[in-house]
Amino acid sequence: MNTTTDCLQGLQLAAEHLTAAADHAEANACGDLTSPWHSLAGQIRLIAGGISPVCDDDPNTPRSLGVQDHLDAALTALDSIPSGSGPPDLVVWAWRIADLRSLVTAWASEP
Amino acid sequence: MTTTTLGDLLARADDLCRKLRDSPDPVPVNAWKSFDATAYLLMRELVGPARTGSRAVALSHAALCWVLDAYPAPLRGAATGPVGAREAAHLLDRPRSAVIASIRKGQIPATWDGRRYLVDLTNLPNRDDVRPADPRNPEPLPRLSCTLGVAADLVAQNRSQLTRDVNAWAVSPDSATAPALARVFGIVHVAASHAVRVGPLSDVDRPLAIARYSAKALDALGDVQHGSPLLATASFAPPSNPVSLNERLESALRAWVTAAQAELNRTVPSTNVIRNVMNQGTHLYAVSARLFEAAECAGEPGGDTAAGAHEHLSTAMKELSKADLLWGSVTAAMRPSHEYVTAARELHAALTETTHDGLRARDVKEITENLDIGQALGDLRYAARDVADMVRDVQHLPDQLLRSHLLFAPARNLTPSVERLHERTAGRYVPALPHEVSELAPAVRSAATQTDLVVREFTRALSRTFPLTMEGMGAWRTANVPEL
Repeated sequence: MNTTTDCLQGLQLAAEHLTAAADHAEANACGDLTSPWHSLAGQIRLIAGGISPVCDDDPNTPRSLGVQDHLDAALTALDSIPSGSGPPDLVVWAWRIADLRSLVTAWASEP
Repeated sequence: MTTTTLGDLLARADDLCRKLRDSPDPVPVNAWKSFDATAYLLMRELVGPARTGSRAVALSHAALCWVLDAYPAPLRGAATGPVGAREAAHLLDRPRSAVIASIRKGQIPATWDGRRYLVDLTNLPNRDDVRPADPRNPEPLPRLSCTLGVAADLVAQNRSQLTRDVNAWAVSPDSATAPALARVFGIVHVAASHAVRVGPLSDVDRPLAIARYSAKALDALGDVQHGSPLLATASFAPPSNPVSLNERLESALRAWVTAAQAELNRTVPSTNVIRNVMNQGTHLYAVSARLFEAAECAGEPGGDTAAGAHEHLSTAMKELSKADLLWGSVTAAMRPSHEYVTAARELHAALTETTHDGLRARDVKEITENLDIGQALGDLRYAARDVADMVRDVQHLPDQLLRSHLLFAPARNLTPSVERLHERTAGRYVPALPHEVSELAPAVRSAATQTDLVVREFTRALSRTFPLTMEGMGAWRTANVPEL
């Protein structure tokens, strides 16, 4: 019972962090629809929808973090779900977040 | 470029007809039969089944059916699938009443669809066994047969796209079919006349009948227009192991379009996928606009036209972005498939790499060094057309899903009511009512209009800037057709 609740909360938290990361990416685009940040926001939201298609877009998650921090937090939330108690494709979603995080890390290291 | 259109295939068939003209060798009877059966198959696919509905449509289509019905006792090749009693009678060279009598006696297996009998071609009594032409045969006639066979497959497999193309041109389906059919009749006439000319005399009866038929059929069609949207119907074979940026872009675009269409065809599509389609559409337009700019800077002609396309692309990007945002206010509580998410990521990577190095926008020199811009814009144009089709399909979803109570939103974002009090307090989602998301449907409709305009302007700009890239209704793209 507790494990199930924890799992759902973990998924919800990860999705909330991803939504926040997408909002930050969108903000980084500064309204420029040709910016890579804008398209990245779309990718992050898609993954958030895969983890939890019903995700409140006004969460209580602190918003002071950046895109990379929220992606890290989402990954941590997913990794904290005990093996076997989450959905069977949990590891795939976590891999997708890690993929986007490495992209954002590469962008952050650019001069 | 691994995209082939019906126009390309017919252009290739024209080339093979020219080669056939110069060939002095007699046409083997088996080669003729393969050609005969394949050409008829293509004509049948082009004309399609008899239409019902409005009297005008039925009569207009009947004119083409009448021309096809006059084909002298068609040979049956590798064709499969259901046909009506009328077509079965034609194939068997028997009266329709006799075929219906055989069906009723159980001699020909058939099904009744509520309006007519449907007979599977494989259940018809066998006549001469006609084998498809060998694609490895280097002679012009077998190669011509293979080309027409590929064209028949392309028409059969892309019938829905074909209908959309015809609708986009605002012409009747039969007006669009007639020019393509006329070209096939021309090809058939040349092949049949050649077979009669080179003999042997003992085998010319059938080609002679077909030559006479095709000449009459051409006259029966009368003056048809030169172009047709049917000729632009495309089949894609992106590289399985893409290496260059062009190949990766093409491969990613086709994989994404296929995955997105599959997702949107679900009974209740994921709103996350719909949002992502809008987002990817915006990205695709942004890349297209940048490539047009790069082409202009690189000295390609058609600068003014490209500027016009740029303007439409910008407007459509804003509309798509607005629709993307509004779709975010609701959810259908459906997850995107892994296949779609993978394809979307691949496309994101390919599109970003086309115009950016990380976050830095590439300059024109860098873009032209890495990319064949004409080819990339050709691929992007097809994808832009697919985006327009998808957005057009999606424009009906808000109303349908809202009326079915299948779009949900947080209760606190919707109109407060006693029934929703508990959900509101608990922070739950409830079905949204149509008037509560009233901005969504008009926004999606507006996006659909703009994406349609983009396709037209994109096509126009591309044909001016890179005339050789455009299929131009297949007139000059024979080099793109894979060797058969």
